Amino acid sequence: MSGPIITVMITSVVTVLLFFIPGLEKVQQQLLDVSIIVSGFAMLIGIDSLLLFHARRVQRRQNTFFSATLLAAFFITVGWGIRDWTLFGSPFNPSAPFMWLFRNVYLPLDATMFSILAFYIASAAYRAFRARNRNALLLLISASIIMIGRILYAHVIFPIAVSVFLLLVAIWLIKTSRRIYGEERLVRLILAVVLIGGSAFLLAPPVFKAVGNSIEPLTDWIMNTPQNAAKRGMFLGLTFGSIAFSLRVMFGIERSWTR
Amino acid sequence: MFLVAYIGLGGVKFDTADGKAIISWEYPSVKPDSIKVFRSDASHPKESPLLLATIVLEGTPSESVFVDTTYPEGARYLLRTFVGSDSSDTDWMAAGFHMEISPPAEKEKEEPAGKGGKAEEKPKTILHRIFDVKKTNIGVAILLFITIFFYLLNVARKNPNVFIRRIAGLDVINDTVGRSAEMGKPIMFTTGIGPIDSLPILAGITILKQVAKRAALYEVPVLVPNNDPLVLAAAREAVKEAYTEIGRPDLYRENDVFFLTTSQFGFASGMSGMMNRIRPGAVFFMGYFYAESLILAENAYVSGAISVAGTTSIDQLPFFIAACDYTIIGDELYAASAYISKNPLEVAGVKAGDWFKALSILSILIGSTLATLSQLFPQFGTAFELFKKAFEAIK
Repeated sequence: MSGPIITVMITSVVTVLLFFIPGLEKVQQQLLDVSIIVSGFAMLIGIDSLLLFHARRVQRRQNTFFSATLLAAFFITVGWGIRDWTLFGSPFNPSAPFMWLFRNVYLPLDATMFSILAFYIASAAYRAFRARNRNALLLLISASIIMIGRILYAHVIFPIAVSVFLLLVAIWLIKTSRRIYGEERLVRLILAVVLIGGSAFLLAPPVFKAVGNSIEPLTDWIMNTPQNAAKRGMFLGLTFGSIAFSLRVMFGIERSWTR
Repeated sequence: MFLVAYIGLGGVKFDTADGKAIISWEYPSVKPDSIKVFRSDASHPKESPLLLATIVLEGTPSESVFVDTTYPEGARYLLRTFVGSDSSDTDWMAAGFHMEISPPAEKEKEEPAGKGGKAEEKPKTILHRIFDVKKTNIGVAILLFITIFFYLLNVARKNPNVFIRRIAGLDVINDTVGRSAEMGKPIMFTTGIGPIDSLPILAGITILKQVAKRAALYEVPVLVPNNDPLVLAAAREAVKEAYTEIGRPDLYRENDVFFLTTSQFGFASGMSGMMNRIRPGAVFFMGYFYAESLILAENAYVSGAISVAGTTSIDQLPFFIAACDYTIIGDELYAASAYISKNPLEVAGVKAGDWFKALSILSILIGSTLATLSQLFPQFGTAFELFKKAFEAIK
């Protein structure tokens, strides 16, 4: 057994025991402090890796522009930070010019990346919400209900959406029945007529109101019952999976993370 | 956060009268900025409680009472105080309860005592000094788990043919690495965002080792951008070890496993840019992810790579399922390394988790049956209460 594995075994068993022994919170805190100090020093490994990686790329003229920009940004930020540290006591002093860099360069860049997420959600939803099979259809229906239920005027939009959905299914049934003969064609056509009737019936004022009012409880039910049930099942699995994995790491059975 | 620790609310009381819930409190000398009142009832579970009111305290505080006129029987309430963006909570309160929002360190000392005021302190025995008896049930569960774990380990040593069910997302690893080799493109692998002490990240590193082994066989470069320097060190070790085990240490290049940034969106931006420039044959997202998951997965799709994702983050799983070709769901991530390596001892560890899952399902079934029976036949009430107590902290 190598040194790191023995260290992990001892520290993990001690940490578990500390959880059960009252009054030893200080020891636990000290162990956490050690890990924070180690992480702080590890940042040097990260900086070394980053600078070497990009310096070599500049040297080899591979994506020189991006790597040179990163190196320049790194040294400007560090230099500026050290300058403000000496002049203002801390680079994060609100009156320090370093904060200008933080507020006007870092934060907008970060916010830009986050806001791009909205477009990615749209493109991913477009691919995910295609009703390719029964499961995808269920996902499409429940996601549509939740989305409608969470927006303004949901009680107006929901009955219209259901009505349009029934109409679309009726049109699909009529369209596909052209290639089918016999009893099945008749069944499909009757079903299409029923759906068209249902679609029109939904727009009648009392039905419209009743269906509109059902969206909120329906949304809550989906979120609280099937969604929560699945989520809790996964939590349960995750918890036991993580305990089993921890034991494998603690007792040195799982040692891929080290030599 | 430090400010919240000094503020809090004093003497929070909760009573009911005429179908109304009355929550009152006292302000300390330093007041919070605002208070939010939440309710959990039959239609609003504790995970998503109903926000009843937000009381903003400007100047001299006015209200120190909140009345819920629509009190459903058995509902529980939670008060959350805010000082700027920092917040502090009471525990969930039931009727006849009183407690305080107090500095976290003091919370332990001030145990809520229900209707009868504060509980009297019992003299501590030797057992109480060396063992936190409140955690007895957790201790028993952990011991049981460890016993099952070692029993299965022993079984696996005698009979190495331990069965593990098929996981589609892991079966494709060979194909994706093979595809990358045929296309002459590298593989990208990330463990996401988090420190080395995060279990999903550790699980990700174990999978990285298995992927790197396949990649070494096919002579495919593996690029591993990292978000944390300690994860970087562990990832380098894992990849180097994988190449050595396959007998191709000459193929290992330290610079292929590199540090990007600790910034969440900086990492997403950097990795997305790389995927679009390098156009890898396959991208693996195995570890823990936050909001950047979809940015990464969509960019992998745009770059034309096969994407395989696995995370224990339940909030990010839908994004991966929607955007990636294959997804390893939840605890399958912890089983992945054992599944790929087929090491009987590791598989036995996975089995221990499954056994405990089966036990928990059994207890849920017994509990719900007893709960139903206690409603139908009162004589089952005692059995149900006893069963319930086994899962509660000892007071």
